[in-house]
Amino acid sequence: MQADVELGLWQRQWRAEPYDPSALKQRVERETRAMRRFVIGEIAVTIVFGGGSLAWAALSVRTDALVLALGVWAFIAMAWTISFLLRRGAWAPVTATTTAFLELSILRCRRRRESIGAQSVLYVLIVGFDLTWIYFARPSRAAHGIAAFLTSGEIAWVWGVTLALAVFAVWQKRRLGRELEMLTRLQRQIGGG
Amino acid sequence: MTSSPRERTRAELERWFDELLAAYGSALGRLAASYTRSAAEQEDLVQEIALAIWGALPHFRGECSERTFLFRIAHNRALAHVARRRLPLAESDAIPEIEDATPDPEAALSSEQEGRLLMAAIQRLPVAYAQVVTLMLEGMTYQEIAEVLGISETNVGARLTRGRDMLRRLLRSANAG
Repeated sequence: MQADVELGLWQRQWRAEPYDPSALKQRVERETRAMRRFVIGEIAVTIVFGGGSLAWAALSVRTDALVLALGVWAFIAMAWTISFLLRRGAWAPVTATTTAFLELSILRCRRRRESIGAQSVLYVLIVGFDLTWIYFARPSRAAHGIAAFLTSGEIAWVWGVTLALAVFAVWQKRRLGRELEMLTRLQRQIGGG
Repeated sequence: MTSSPRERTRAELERWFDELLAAYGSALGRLAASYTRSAAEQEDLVQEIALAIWGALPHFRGECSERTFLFRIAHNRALAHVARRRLPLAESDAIPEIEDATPDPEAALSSEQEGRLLMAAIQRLPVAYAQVVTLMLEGMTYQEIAEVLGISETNVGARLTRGRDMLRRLLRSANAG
């Protein structure tokens, strides 16, 4: 009986811990709206770039516009394929048991880490395609040459963005590595059985 | 809530969500506190948990009790939060020292102080023990705890015995301090 008295005492002390959940619903609603705006933003980007390039190709009836539209849609398809392959079997339902959730979270974290390499390759392909397209679309290309084009002031921002993204990718890979290490430690502690 | 999830309108889901927060909001706050070390961190985690519950409600098919469903989500979100923020983990079964939350060891502790002391002790338990102990403190049975965590009832019993022993020693050392 001693144990039950102790448990009863602990339960009273535990439930005395104050927490007021009254403002929680408003915060959840605010966060839900923000998430909805983010999803709408992603769809809008696909519509603007994918749809815009197609519309331009159809209206202008120009070969370079058609090449650009094909390139944009090829990259959209590649991005979705990579995303699908990396997520396959790694969706961690939040309602799974804790043990199952941890296993899937570790798998998902590994995949997200691996995806940085694939995303980097995709980025290089997109930049390569875009720069090639811009170079050949310029009427003054013959006068300047490729080296002058790549080092010109109007292209400098591409290298700036590339550098910033490379730094972000390295940081993200390290952060995911640490998260993976924590998840593995948690799995080791929690185990199963 | 007797209608199937597919039939629930947004208004019904919102009402159900309100009911769940009213019934379990405090428990979710306590659970979040057991994983975190500051009030701000606790608030962030409770919000993450509530958001995950809101997202999962339309998919609830009644294969377990509402309470089991909620605590699964809460513990899963909490573990993901701990991993992402790299919050400190008690690594082994060795009992760490606990800071005394009482200003005067001679004075009788108020229930709030005792609650804080208990929370501080639970925060210092390794996660595997803290989980079963907090679920036990919420009044869950072995079977319910096993359903939340995905471990056997035998394992729940073993972890509870060890967890309670560690908690007892932590509280004793804090009270003696």
